[in-house]
Amino acid sequence: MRHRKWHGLWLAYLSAGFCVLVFTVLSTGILGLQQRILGLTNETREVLVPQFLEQIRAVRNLEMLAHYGGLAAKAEDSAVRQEAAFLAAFAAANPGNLSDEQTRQLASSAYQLIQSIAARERDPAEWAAMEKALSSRADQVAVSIGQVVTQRATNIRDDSLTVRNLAIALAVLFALSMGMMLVLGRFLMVRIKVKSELFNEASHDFRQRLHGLQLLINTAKRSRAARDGGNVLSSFEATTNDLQRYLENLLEIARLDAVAIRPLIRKVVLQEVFQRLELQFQDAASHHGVDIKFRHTRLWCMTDENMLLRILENLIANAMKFARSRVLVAARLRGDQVEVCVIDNGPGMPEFNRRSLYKAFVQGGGAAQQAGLGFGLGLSIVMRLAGLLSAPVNIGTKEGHGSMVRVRFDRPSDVPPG
Amino acid sequence: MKKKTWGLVLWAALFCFAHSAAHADEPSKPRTLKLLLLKDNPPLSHRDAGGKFVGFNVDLGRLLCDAIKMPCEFQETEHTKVIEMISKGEVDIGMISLIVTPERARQVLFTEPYRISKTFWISRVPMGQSAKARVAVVNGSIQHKWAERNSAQQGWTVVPVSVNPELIRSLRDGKADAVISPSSAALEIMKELSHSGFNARPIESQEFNNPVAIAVNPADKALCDQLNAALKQIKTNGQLDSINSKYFSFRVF
Repeated sequence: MRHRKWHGLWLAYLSAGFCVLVFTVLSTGILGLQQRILGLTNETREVLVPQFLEQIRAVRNLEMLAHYGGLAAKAEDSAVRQEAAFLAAFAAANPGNLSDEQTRQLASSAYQLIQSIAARERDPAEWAAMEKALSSRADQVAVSIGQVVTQRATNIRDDSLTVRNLAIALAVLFALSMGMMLVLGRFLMVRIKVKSELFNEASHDFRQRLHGLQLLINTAKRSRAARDGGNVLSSFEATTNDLQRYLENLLEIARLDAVAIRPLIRKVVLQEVFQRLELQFQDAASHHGVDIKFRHTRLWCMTDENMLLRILENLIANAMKFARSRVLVAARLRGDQVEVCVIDNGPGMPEFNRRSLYKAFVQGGGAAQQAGLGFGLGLSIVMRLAGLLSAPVNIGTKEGHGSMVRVRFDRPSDVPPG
Repeated sequence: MKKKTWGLVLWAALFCFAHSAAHADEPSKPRTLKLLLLKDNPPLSHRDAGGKFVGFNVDLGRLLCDAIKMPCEFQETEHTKVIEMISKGEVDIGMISLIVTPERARQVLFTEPYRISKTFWISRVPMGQSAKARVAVVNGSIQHKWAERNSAQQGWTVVPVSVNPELIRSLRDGKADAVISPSSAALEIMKELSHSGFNARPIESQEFNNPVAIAVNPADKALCDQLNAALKQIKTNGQLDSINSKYFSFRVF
């Protein structure tokens, strides 16, 4: 069963990995093709257009050469023939005609023939073949321009189509991934719900049985038969009480982690909170032989009162466990915030332990050696609650010099104090 | 005392800010480019009946000034002073259709070539049979230098003239038997003298086969770059073709 469960999770991981891989490949492909299209369009503007224009000029000059050649062949007046030959020199010298060797050679041959025909050194009838060759070359150059344009347009169209297809594939994959994530999310939610229900039922049963055990111990302590074994029963009761506290803390952490709790933010007068806590911890303080003091305050803050109470309960309980003789709870104004501090004169904590303090089941250095002083869950609860309230927690401690835990709460200036 | 000092500093800063802001709003006055033309050089540059500059180089100069968005003014001079005026920075651009030679390239900057030039032998006799001929050339031109170099071998007497129209006059008046002329001037000469038995043949010398470019003040490389970009623009947007068709029946670039 366990094997099948992990199999499903690995399948989800593999699917997500595959999707990321395909996404990356498709996106890289699209970017590459877009870059190619950009290159083609830039090349068209920078290189091909000037080339086209040059070829068009070459075509025009080939036609002019054909015209001057015709004049030189047909004109009776030698002056007209000489002028035609003179102008043919310009048409043959155009750089456009130098763009390809075949055209250049043809233009040069045509010019030489025009010169000879104009001087009547050669038969004017020879011009007909040259005129045909010039026209044919002009056609070829003109058609080649069209072919280059068509080829370029085809390349750009093909690349654009591929980009479009890749974009569609990307969109489909994205939709599939989203669908898969929704299904997986739903599946996980159902599993979490089932687990929570199981956990709630189990914790309820566990609490009931523990309570039953405590009742039995109380009854046993009062009975005559228990007088001799009273010490054993007291130890048994203390251990059971510890177990109950442990269970309560553990269940609270589980609840904070599993259930989405929304804090109820409202104005909280700190002196009222301090008074409640003073009453609550009076007996425990005298039991531990600790002098606990709550400094009088007129400050207030915006927070969830119950969560603030739970934070301070945990911090004070912690401080009392480790304090040698004194615990002080005070509030100070820090700009737009109120800082609530719990200070003890306990053994403090070594530097290396500070980061791990936020984890469950971890205690300060001095505490670890002191049996029966908690389970390391208090600060973990404080950190979770403070996280929900967005209240920064700062722990100041030095080995042998006690600890000071500070929690900051908002105190917006636009809320009337009254 | 301290308050007073801070007050003064604040006022000074405010004044500087206001001053710079006011100046930032003023549009900077555009630089006027000085374009040099060759005097009496149709169809490239000459004055019409109203005294205005006209010709292929004048239109090309105006196109380039429009493309780089700078106003321009024209000056004219003779061929002998062209390189000196450009190299000393007396003018910004020489719209002369100068053939690019290594010697000239050492003295001025040249843009990318924009047209090609040919040099013609214009005479009633072919160049091969022209011993003892008086050959007219424009003073200071590369045709002049070429003729000087070849005169001893060919047996010519070189007749330098100051401007292109004097080439026609020297042939017509019989002061010269032949002229060695750049292509643009050859067109004008043949327009007038082709029916008088004169014949024009291109001189196939590597020296004359160099392309024609615009000369720029050597101290202004940025302007040369701007002109190159402008030339590329007018070559592809058809403006150069339109002035080509205005002055020549064939493509000259």
